[in-house]
Amino acid sequence: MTKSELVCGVDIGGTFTDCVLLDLDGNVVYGKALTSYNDGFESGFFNSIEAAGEQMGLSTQEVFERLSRISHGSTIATNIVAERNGSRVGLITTKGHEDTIIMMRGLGRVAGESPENILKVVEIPKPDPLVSRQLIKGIAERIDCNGDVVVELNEQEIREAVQDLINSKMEAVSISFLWSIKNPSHELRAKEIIQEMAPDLFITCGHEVSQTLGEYERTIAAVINAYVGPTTSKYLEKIQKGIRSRGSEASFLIMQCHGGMFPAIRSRQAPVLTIGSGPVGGIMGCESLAEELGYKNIIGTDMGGTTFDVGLIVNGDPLTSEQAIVDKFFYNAPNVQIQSIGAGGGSIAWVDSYSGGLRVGPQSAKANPGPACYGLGGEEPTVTDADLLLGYIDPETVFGTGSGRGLHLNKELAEKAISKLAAKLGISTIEAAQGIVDVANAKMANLIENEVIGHGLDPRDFVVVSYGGAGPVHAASYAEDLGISTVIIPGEISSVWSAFGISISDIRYETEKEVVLLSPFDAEELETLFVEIENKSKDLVYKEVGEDTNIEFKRYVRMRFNWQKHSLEVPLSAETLNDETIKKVVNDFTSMYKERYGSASILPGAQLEIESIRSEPVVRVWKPNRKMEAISHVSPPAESKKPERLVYLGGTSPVKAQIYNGSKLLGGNIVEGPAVIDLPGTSIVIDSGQQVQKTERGDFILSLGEKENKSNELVSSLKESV
Amino acid sequence: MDKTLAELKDFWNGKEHAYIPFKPLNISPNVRLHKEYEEEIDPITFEVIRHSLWGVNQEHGKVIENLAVSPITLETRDFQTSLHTEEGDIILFGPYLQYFSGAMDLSIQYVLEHRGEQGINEGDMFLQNDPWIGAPHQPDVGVCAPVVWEGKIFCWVSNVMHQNDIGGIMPGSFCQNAPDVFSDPPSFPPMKIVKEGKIDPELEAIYLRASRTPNNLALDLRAAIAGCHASQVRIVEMLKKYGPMKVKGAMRKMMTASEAAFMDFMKSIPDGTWSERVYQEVALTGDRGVYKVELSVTKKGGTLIFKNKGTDPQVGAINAPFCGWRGTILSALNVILLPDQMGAIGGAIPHLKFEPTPGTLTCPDYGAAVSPAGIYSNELAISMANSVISKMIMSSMDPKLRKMALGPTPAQWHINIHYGVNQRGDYYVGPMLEHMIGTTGATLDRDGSFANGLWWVPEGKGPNIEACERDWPILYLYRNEHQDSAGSGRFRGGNGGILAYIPYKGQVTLGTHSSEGVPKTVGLQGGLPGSRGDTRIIKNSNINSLFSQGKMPASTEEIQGQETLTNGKGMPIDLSDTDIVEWNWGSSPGYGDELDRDPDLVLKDVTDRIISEEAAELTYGVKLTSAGYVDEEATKIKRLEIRKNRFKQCQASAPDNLEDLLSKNINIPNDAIQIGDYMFVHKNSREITNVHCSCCGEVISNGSQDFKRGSLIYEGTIQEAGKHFVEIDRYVDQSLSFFQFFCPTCATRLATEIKRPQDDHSREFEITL
Repeated sequence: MTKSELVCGVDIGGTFTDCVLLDLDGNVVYGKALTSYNDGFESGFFNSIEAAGEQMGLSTQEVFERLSRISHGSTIATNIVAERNGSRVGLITTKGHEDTIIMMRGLGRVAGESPENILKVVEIPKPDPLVSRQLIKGIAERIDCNGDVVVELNEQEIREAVQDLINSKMEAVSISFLWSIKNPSHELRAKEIIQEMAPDLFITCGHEVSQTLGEYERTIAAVINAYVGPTTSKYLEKIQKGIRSRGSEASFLIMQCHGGMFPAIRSRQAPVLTIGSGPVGGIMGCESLAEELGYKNIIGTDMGGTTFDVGLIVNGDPLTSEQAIVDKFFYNAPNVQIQSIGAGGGSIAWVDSYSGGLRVGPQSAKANPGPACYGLGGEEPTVTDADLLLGYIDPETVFGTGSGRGLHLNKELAEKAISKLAAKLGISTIEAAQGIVDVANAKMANLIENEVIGHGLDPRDFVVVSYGGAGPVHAASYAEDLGISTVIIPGEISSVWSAFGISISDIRYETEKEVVLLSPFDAEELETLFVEIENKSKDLVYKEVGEDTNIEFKRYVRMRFNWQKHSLEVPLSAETLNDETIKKVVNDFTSMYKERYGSASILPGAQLEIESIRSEPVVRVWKPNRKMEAISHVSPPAESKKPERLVYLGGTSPVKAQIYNGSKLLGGNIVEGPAVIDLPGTSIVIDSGQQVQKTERGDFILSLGEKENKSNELVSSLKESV
Repeated sequence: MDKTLAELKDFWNGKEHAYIPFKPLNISPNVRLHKEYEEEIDPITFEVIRHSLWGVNQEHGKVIENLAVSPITLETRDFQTSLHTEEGDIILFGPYLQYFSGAMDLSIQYVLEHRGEQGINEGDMFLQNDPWIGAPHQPDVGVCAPVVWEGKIFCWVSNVMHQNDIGGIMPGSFCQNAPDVFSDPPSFPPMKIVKEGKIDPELEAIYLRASRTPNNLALDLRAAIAGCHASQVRIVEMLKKYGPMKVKGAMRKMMTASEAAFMDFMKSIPDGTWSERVYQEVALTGDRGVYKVELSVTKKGGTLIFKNKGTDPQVGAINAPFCGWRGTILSALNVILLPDQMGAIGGAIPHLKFEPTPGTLTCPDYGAAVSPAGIYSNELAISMANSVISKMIMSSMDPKLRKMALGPTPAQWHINIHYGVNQRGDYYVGPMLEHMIGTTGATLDRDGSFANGLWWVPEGKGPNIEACERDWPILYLYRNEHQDSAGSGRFRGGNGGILAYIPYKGQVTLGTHSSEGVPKTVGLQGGLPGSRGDTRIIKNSNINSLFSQGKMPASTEEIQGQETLTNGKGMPIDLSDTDIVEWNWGSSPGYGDELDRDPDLVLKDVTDRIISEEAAELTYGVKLTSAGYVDEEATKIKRLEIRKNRFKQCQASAPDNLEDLLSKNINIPNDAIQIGDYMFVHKNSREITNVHCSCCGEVISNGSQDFKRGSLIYEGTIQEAGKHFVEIDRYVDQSLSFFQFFCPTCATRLATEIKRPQDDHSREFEITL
């Protein structure tokens, strides 16, 4: 790589498309452009890169000539499902099991619903299926749980079914047979037949998108893939052409929900895996931050306009989940686990008519009309309006970048909206604003507490990383509630943190196999199984990433006590397995189980079972070390100081807080509370007794001081109790 | 004469009869309760505490999900968590199995009244599974724990979890062949299983002793304890942070808020009584009887009174303990009436009065077998509670609220439980939980839905075939929507499902299996009932030959073999590997008369294979053209023909102007009470109360609200209740008929009813005007 080379990450959001550009010296700049719905996101994509290039003083041509990698987080597949404008999909499945995707395991009504809606059985319907019944074709064939063929595939029925589907104007097809994870021969043969009959048709097999047990989840994953496939594929092709037409030979990588990148060629085949990848970039940024700063455990919190998202990094790795969900359809795809509640800057405050209590969310003013203070016609009081009234947000700030396109805030409109609410509550406007913030903070603290403690973990072992427009304003409060002492706000790029995470994520494939192995485990047998799946994935990586690629394998086994419900994934060393490593895996599993569920949850004498093995071929991408400044004096320079403003920190009387321009603070500077550090698109609120230090990389470390803590007590007493 | 309070307490004591607490509770002076609270709590602090308490209960559930091992508990969310006042009253409960709610407060109040002498202290927890106190059947084990602040009980936390096997004469503890409680699993009245933070090993040993899977039971006990403990610790933290006066103040305010929401609902309901009757069948293995179950709700001012008057005496193994029966009513209130309260309905409960008749099927005295209540009688009770609450809602003066009425879900939990030796040579028990895939009933403006879960277990999940085939020695042949199984109506119910399997590479005995003949899931306003559960066995089939010919049968019609008929609550059946078992889970009933259904919706149902073309014509009177469109003219003629035939069946003559009657505009007087879309009750100028048909406006019954008396009545066979019903004498010895009640003027169907000849028809409503 030459000195002039650049890498970038592009993240398309609801209002803005963000781009982060990194150079070899570790300079990090960003650009924002309005998301361009009218041309299928294309101009927004390229404008954001150009805007970032301008920040580096480069022309469009220079940027594209120098880019060696463009990493992209796309929400296009998610949007297609949410808006129901995907392709007309046919489904070929095992005869007698045509209704699997209609049944949704009986969970269609409540899956993915907010807690507020779970009980609304009359009001909330089950979603319409993605494939109409007329386009679901059952084919005589059957494979059993060992992969043995019980009934041969009836090829004639396949041909008839496909012809029928073609006549019905099908645009994409999914094939999903029972037990194809044990024996994919029937799916592969069906695919061959369809390719002969309709060579240009987008085809997805169940075993290609999911290798896990459970026909509903696998079939719906195949269906979703086919549903979003043609449009997503065209979109990626269009962007790739745009990149080439601008003279760039940069590799084009797409963010996946598991936290790794796929080359566009792979992502065009498996777009279902991009669904839910939107917030994953931020957590991958946290993972890198953890490594940089030496923290093992991080709670990544993203407070945007409508939601508050939480993801965890435990022992340096993101906590993952097996199950993903989009618009009530749940399927198995390893994904970085992110929990979300309706508590963002745009969350609307309202009064419950029965209790008179003040509630915040889950309804949101969204980007349009947005909070009242945006002046776009919103009249409902929101969290952002409260933040503005309480002095947390600089009233002169402009949301968004670009000349003439930013949003100027209107404090009077915020006050008007909140005063109406205050009148209903019989309290002052400031008390109501403070109340909105307190309620929102409590909801966020509760979500984090349930997430962290629910996984058997202790919040005190974590630091919070806060990003997203509204995050740093509130972070101190929800972190303090949990007894967490440190909050990190990742520098000026905190409002484009997801794009940054995307830009530095490695290429990672996934390969998994369901097995039934009972203890005592045979090292050789397990090694053979791993080598088998790794050889297959090697070929794929060489083909799609390049012959000279250096692949590292990360191995995992999913284990449980025989007959127990809960399994845990345990990492293995990548070396050849032997009796010693097997012993270590068993020990690791047992201690992990004890740690999560308490020592009494171990069933004495129970046999262990390995349910599945997973290997991740990883191709490391080049990532720069973020540029470090020389450490300066602890006192902020005079030019960083802004005029004081009145800020309400918990009481009804304001304090005169010191205000700083975060961009002008230097590495090593310490700001003591009460103070506010204004940053582009957000601000850091510092209470008395708290302090913030800017690091040499430009991050802000907020120290909350020692507080009496409950969480440790809770976790340890919970473990003792069982 | 009404009993005095002392007499009531003495009678409903949890020993001979069910335990029903009456305020004030008799609490030992050794027990100190924290009762002080701040009355004026600001709206912000209130909301922060309210949300946190809700979060505490959620976390309680999460701990159980993490630690529990019983598959029924986890997949079908067969557990519940709750938060109570210092006196045990419910503040809120979770989104898990709803009817457990009715048991949790009772067990805490029993502990307060009967275990206080020895002291109830910090670190104590009580376990019970006594159906005469607080267990809907013995496998539903409850654990409750006080949250103690400065030596006083501040509040209580509690959970109930279904256990895989707690003993009794059938593996899995659903003992359908138990003649009495002495053949059921053991019932443990509340005992202090945790003392000062430590499990009592002696009591635990007793608790585990009767179970076939004691290790699982021990682990689930720890999950229950850990769940309560997590809640206790978080609440204590809140007390430290906000102070006990504020937290208690917020709890009280939550109660008053849910009370206000409930009273708001009550304002729109006229005073009156609404009733439902269903017949349970086959009291235990070998029995061939039919048994009547009644439920009524009376709304009087701000109070709802629930009675089971007229219910037959307790018998066999089909009894529903009082706490389960009560819980089914709380479930319907929570989900159908007050879903916005998110489980915090404590303030409504003091406005509910339960007045059961002791010694009956829905309030048995001690001695009755109750262990299979979880698949028979509790489901019947929840279906009936759903029905009476919906009938009451349909009489609301608020048209929006009337639309909240919901057709009931199946009145039995349909199941196959098999056991034997699996493909790996291990003993196994396989409960097939497809019923959880579920169905929902029709509403006043929407069809029910196949595979839409069960509203009373909102987050329950049905099984994947691959997971079952991995663990059990069976191979599924098919599992799909059960066409034409739902009750028809203006809005039809959701279909149930049907599946078949064969034993495969193992040894399989079919244990508990559903097989019933009496329609039990009643339709609203003339909608036809939901389907029955059946298990069919085709012995010595040609399945292997079909497989080798490359065929996958999708119904038993494609298979040859000898059918063996199953009996209600039959004994276990050994299966060979050429035997095929087919069973179905039940559907939901419809709403209204199917002749009123939009023909385009009928066509869509045919296109989507929800109903057959045959049903479209015979049931709905909708004729399709050869090109697959609705033949409007032929449909009109067919529907008129069906309507005229109704008159004929009832030995009456159709009026000449029948078509005109149906198309005229009906002006419903402003002071009339509408009963759904089909009837209205009105007092005329001569002060005579009449029930009118909303379709033609004419009077159905003059001077009486018993509209059935004025209706055209057709007595038909049980098979006429729906396509999948069979001759009833296969199951029972008593005669039963399917009655349909039509408007005497326009023959619109207004109601249906299953009835024994000796019983009067059921009175659906009596409104106080």
